[in-house]
Amino acid sequence: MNGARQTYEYFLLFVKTAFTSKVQVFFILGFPLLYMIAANMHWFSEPPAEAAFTGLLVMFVTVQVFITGMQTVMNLVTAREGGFFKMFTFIAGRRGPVVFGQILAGYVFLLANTIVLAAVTGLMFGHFSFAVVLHASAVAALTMIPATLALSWILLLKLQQQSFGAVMSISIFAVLFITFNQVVTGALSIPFAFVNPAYFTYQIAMHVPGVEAGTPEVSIWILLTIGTVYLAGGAALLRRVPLTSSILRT
Amino acid sequence: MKINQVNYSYAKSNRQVLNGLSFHLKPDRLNVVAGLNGAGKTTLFDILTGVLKAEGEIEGLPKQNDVVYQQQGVYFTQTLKGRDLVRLVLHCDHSGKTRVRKKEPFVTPCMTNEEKEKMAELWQRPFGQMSVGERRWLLTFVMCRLDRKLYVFDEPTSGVDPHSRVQIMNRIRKLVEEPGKTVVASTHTLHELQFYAVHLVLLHQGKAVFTGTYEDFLTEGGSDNPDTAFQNLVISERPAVSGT
Repeated sequence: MNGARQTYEYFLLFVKTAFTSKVQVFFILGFPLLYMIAANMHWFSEPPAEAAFTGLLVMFVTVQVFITGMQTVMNLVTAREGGFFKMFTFIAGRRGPVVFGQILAGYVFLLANTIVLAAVTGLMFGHFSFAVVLHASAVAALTMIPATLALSWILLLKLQQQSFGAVMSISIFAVLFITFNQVVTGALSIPFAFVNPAYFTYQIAMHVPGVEAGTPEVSIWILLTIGTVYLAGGAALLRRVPLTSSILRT
Repeated sequence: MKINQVNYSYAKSNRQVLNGLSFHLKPDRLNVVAGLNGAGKTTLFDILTGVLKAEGEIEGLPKQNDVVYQQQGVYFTQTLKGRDLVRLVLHCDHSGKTRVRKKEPFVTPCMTNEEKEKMAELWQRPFGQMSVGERRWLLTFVMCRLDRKLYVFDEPTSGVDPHSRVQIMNRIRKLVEEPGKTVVASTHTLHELQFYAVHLVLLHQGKAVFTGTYEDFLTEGGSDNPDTAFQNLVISERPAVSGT
């Protein structure tokens, strides 16, 4: 019970931080929204078929999930490098609530932004419906936590906060490029989904019923296995992450 | 608590940060660790709090759940208000049941009127708009509210104006007066120690080159000016004292 209360307190802090951070709002909502509109200006004069719209929307929801996962891990790096993680582990008596509070805040922040993205683009391109918004939200809700835990190995890297921003930006573009350009197909799809949480998210999105979002290449059972490995591996790794920075004195 | 022959060096470093360090911590005094920058004060605190594992023996060290560790300049979101910080610390405290009301500044009977006014002033103020002194005072105040056996404050008054410094030190002094609590702090502002009952530990080259009261420190350092006494003690080649 104490752990739940502590997690809630950290969640309140981190969710407030996320919603008041212009950079985070831009990265997770502004960037996908502007990109989706700018790349499809012709849809204003020639409205797309629903499958074309939803197929594209799940790609951008995947972008949101991946960026949120990276941002959540980056926030944990910032908490560790700034000494917050160490100090508050002593206050709470355990590290779990700080980490879970951060992940939970990212989860709620993502859901809110995904709903806005789906609703705004749905209205703009003539395909606003409860099913479209619900589908996008379900994809975000199902994939954010495993995708974030899959990225938790980044906490083991000896990266400074300044370097992390650059690495995050480059990796986002690189990962999304190879995810959406069918660089990997066929038999390699399974190992690719295993090492790339963005591809895992995209494949899950195509399995979620409700709208036509494309044809998945990886079966749902394999994706569930990968998701379980992400969750178990990430949770085990987060228990072992050092409290202190190996680069800075805190 | 007794620190006995503690050694520590960081991985991939040839430098022995702590080298056979031995001294006592006194529960009825404010234990102050002083030393040059890089003398190993923060490393020592990390060892005392169990964050780092070192060779040697530490007797009477409480479990991590019985420790408060306030670090230098922890980063908080600038939009976080005073009330958010107080609430966060007190509601996350694993041993406490203190509830903080959003609309009422947190006050306790042991606070002075000046402290109550300060709390009311900072309650709605964003962290980013507080001065360094106000931030440190608020954080120190709320950390002192946690019920623990060992309190570690890493340079709680560094970069703080004299008025806030006095308020922070008075708050820590009240903590020292509570039975069953051991308080350790580090500082570079030696002048302020003359007003408090301190047990001073001077770290140099991984060893305690002096342990004792402030008055003994001035006597051994051969000057009424604590900065000069400090220079005399750390610059001259002195054998390390045994733990007292």
